[in-house]
Amino acid sequence: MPGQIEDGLSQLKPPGGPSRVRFTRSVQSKFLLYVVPLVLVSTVVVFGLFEWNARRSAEQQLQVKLERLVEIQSAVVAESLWNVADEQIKLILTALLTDSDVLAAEVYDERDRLVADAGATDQFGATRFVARENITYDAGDSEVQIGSLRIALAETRLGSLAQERLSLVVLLAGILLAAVIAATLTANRRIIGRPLALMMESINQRRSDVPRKLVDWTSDDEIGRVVAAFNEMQERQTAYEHQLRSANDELERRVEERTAELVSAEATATEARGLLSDAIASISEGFALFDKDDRLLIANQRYREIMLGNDEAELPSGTPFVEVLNRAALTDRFPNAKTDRELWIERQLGRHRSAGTPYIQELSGNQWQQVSNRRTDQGGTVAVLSNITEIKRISNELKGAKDAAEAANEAKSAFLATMSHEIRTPLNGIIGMSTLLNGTDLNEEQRDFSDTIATAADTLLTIISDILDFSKVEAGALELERTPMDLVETIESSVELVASKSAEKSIELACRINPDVPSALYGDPVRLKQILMNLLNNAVKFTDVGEVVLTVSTMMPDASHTPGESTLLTFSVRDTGIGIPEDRMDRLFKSFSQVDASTTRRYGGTGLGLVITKRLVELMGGEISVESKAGKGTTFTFTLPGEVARIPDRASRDTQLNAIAGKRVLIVDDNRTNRLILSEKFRGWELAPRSSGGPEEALEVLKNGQVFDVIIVDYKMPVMNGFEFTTATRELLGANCPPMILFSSISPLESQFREGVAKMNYAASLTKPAKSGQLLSALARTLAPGVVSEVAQPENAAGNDADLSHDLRVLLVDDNSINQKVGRKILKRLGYDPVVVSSGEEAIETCQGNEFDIVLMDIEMPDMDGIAATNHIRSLLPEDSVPYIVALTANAMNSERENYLKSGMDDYLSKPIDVEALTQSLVAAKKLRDSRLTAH
Amino acid sequence: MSDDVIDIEALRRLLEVIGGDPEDLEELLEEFEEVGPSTLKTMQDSASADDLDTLRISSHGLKSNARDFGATALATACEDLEHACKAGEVEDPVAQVQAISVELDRARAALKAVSLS
Repeated sequence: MPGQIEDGLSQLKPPGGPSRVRFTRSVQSKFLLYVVPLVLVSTVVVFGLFEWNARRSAEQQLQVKLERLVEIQSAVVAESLWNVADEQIKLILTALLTDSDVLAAEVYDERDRLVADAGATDQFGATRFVARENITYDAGDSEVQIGSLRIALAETRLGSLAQERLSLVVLLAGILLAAVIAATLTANRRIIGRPLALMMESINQRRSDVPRKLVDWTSDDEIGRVVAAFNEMQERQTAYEHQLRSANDELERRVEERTAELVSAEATATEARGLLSDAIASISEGFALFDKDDRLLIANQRYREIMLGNDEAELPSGTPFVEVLNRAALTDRFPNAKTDRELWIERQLGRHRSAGTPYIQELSGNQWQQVSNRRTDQGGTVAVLSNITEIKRISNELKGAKDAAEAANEAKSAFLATMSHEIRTPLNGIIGMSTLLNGTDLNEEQRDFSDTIATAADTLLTIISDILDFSKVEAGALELERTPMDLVETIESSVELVASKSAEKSIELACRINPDVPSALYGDPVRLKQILMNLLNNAVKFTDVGEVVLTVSTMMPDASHTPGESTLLTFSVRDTGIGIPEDRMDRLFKSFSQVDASTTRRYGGTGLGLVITKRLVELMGGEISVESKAGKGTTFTFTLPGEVARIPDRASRDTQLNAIAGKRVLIVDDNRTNRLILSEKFRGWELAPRSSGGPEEALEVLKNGQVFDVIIVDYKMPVMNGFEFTTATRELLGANCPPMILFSSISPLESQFREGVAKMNYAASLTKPAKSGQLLSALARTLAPGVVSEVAQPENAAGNDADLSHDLRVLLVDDNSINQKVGRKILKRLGYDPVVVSSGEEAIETCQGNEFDIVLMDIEMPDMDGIAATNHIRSLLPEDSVPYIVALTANAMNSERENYLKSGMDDYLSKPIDVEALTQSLVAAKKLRDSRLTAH
Repeated sequence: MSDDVIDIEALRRLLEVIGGDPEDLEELLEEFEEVGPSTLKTMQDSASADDLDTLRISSHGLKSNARDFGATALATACEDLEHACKAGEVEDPVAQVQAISVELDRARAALKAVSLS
């Protein structure tokens, strides 16, 4: 509808002034504005041309009619005129008037006198259509002009015709115009208006949320293309709006969220600020914050109270720290400020500015406070003042207590040192005596006893040192030695030391070293012995019936024969004793704790043993564990990692082994463990052992004709003891009876037993458990007496180094003449001829002029002590000719040994000199010399 | 046989260590008759002169000898003085040396009376 379009268009318009309204003409009216005048003008022009043509044609017709009328009527009138019949002429003329076109007619005579007329002759001048024709009469042979006729035709008919045509034209033009307008309007509406209205409608819809409505209009004209483009645009617009709307929604949502967050954060911050200021206000410490120009930002009540003596005191923020100090100095609260106010303020300022380590400040009334100044990131300073009066009091008390404790500890150490000295003195007597005893002519048994005494005393001495070292163990300061140790020797001598105790209790004590265990290992033999002794002693102590078995095996048998290879040994000590209840296991390895108090009463002991054992095992890099069943027994197992070593001199052992290889041995023992161990050991020595569990069984074997090179018999067996079995065997075999070796755990001191042994004339009599070395030499002596005589010389104390050619050059340095004499006498006795000097200076001089293999250096000497002299000697001589230097000192603490070793000594001997220890040092010196000789 | 002043076992051990010949021991005891008093003299001098270093070393020497001969009380007295010197805190050194002198005399007398047989 045009109106709608008008509305639609006006709706598109932005609101504007009325001046713009006149431009809001519809497309239709614009169309009409162009079409209607065009139609009108063309109609007028067309009809004008037509009219002009019609009029000219009508005028021509009229003219033709006039001429023909005149011509005809002149002939008609001629007769009448000729006859002068006027009346007739008149009639004719009047008849002419019946033609409506004829306006008037006149007839004139030859002299131009009017003869007759008719009609409105006055009109002759008013009309253009007037014609005159001469009237001629045919008088026989001539024609005579007798008059003229004049006729006037009226123009009125022309006018009425034109009138008629005009009305028609107007009518036709009106119809044409109406048709044109109607056609225009219709076409306009159909082709343009409708789609525009639809588009308008679509556009008007845009504000609503529904998708844009597409215009349903198809045509192949421009409008159609516009609509298609519009639709496409609408779709794009819809998509775009959709995007925009979702983006907008998202944005709004985020803005909302952010706003909510901000609100909540603000609330939290406000709360935190509130909490913080409450906290600052209420902390018991004085708190103040200064900006980077040292102006106060905030201070709590406590700060005001401390600095100004009054928590109500006015202390506005912005107050410079100097002013705070000035006011504080006036309060008499700071004793130091009283003495020198300026200096005090100066110092406080300095500390404030160099904020760092807290310092302690005295307040009046014997109060103390700690002041901590800390820099903030903004360059300000936080000051915290804490009252530490109570802490200071406690700390003073603690310091007192600590001093007292340290004094007590020192006293304890001194006591321990003295005690150990007191015990050592008699012990050294035992050691010395047994050493001397060994020097005399002893039989096998006596030598064994004497050795055992020496070893036991030695171990006791070691243990005393251990007690001294316990504190070191506790402090983790114990250092282990690392020397090649003979494993078999170390293990067996440990077992041997426990043997007498197990014999007393009639417990079988056995030691089983797997043949694949290396013969030597780098390690600390003393400490390993200590571990084994502890475990074995424990096992024997807590076992009343049954056996105690030490087993040594290795998890890496392949490494055993290659010196330098790493290996791991497993030691286990199994007993059949009282066991440990499970709930008490965890107390085992704790200091001074035994399984329970009754145990202590019954079995004694300090409870230190297992602690030291555990620490030692751990120090050696191993682990110790325990398995136990109450009433069944206990097994302690520990591991020992180490490096396989080579024992330097095994020649005699190898000779012995070669001599006895392949010999047949019969073992007669009722204890299965012992039988197994012996068999295994013998097989390791390449012997052919056969064991039997009792005398009868053994006799049966012998009766069957089996031949043996030697019989080993246990003394204590059920039914028949060792003596009885021996007698029975000899009776059975007579002269073919092989030599026999007796094993027993009976104390050989029993005179009856000793007499029995003597009477039975055994090849050897050994106490259980026999050391491998003893057993081997007993077998070798029995089976191959010739070979053994070379190597099994009776040993004496000095004989240990009998092959240690006595050409060792020894220098003894001691300022004390008695010590010199004692030392010289001991060395002489051992077969050495020492050079003796009495000062460090002399020692240095002598060392430069002569070569020595060993220097025994007293430590405490006037002018130059032994350590200084030693260092001199080391610096003066080339490294490979520095002698083995041994410190000599009367200081009792064995724990000082490390200190001496650290100060450059090779070894350490305590005075009074222990011959064994001295011998060991001499052996070490010889080894050093020999290694140098081979190196050269 | 035990003596209050002399630890006879220590003396016996000394004898064993030097080879068991009583004449050797006799020789050592004679030596001590000389060395003991001369060391004491050094101690007295250094005590009066407040020379703690010399006092310490001479105390140590006498201690060592006293131990060799089993003169336990003398050894302990010397050791105490030695430790005090080491710590640098000797109270009245002269008096302490005086006490040691008494111990030395007792030890010498006791040693003369000892019979090892």
